[in-house]
Amino acid sequence: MKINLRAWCLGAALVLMGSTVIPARADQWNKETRLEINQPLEIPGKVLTPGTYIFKLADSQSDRNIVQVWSVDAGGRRKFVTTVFAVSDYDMETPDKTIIRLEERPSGSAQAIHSWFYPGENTGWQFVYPKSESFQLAADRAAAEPPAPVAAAPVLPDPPVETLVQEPPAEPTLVESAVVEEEAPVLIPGETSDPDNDLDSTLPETAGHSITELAAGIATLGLGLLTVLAGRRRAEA
Amino acid sequence: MPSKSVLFWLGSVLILVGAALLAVYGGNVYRSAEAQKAAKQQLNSPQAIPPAVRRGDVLGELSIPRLHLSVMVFEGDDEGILKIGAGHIPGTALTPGEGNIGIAAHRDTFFHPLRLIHPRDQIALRTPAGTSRFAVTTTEIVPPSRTQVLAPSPGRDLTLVTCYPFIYIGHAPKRFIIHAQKIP
Repeated sequence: MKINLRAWCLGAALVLMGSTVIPARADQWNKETRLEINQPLEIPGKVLTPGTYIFKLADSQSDRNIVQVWSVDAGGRRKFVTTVFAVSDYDMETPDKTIIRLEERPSGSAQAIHSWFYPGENTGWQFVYPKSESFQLAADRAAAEPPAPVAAAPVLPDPPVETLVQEPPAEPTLVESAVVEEEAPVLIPGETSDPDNDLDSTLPETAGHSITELAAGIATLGLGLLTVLAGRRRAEA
Repeated sequence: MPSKSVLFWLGSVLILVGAALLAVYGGNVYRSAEAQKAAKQQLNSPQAIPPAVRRGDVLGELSIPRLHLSVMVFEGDDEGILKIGAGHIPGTALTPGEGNIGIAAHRDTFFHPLRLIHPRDQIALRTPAGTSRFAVTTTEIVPPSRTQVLAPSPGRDLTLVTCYPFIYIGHAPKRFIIHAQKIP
């Protein structure tokens, strides 16, 4: 009897130890980046006026391509500006500082942020604009005019270091980004797309396992009782 | 044929495992109930509306009177949040009337009654800023990749997300989506 009791205690302890493992969670993962701009810059759905802004990823485990933009006033207070559903971008070289690449826009329009890379990571986020804007620039470029000189990008480092890096002329133009959009359709707020398209992100995982735990618990308990009962009957027989 | 001692030990192990599973289930139910209770108390107590929300913040209470559904909504949509209540999907609108608010919850707990939802059912969302009412417009079943359902568009002010089918073992292959429009 003593042996049985000891074994039960040991088994219970092992099961309890196994059921109390808590998944770890990273501390800093929102890639918060502070930017100061001194000329209007476009992001999908908004034009940022000169000032200080915070770019960071939304706190979502299921989707790491949601970028939130906040403005920061002189008193350091943050105000939510917009949410951008971005797509993953990749750079061969890993930057050692924040990289913001710009897209050309028709003359007279604000330049647009093409992509954002966080220091030490060669996977960044590309901002996608409605096709109409891309086609407008493509039309402008097709007009046989020399490529519009790209104005110097505003650079106002603020610890940690951030730099606006000018998109090289040979790098993505709006024509190219339109092609990219065709190849990898992405979510553009307010725009519908083909339901069969696969996006980088997914809807939240809402399956839950409560019913499975309950059903498995009852079934296992019942099976155990039946097995013990069968053993007892065999002993009596 | 297994001997009586083998049967006894096998049965004992099964009983232990079954009891452990039931204990885990009971613990989850208890933690969830406690979190809901604390969140409701927090929502009912006078408080300033924070300028920015962080994961786990109490955002409000979602209720659908016809289905007797009432659940507290927290910021975030990860497993930890969805175990204790409904979660506001980060990146979607926070304030009623300013876009499409996305809220997700488990199909086998808080959002289980959604399988009985009908068009024109009323949904109430109570936040520290007040109570907003919505009417269900459409439902759809989509693959998990179709995040377009969360995009803002006219007449789409609230979107509820849960897994589909409602009865399914393992990770459900689809999502059940409910769109609702704000009632002026």
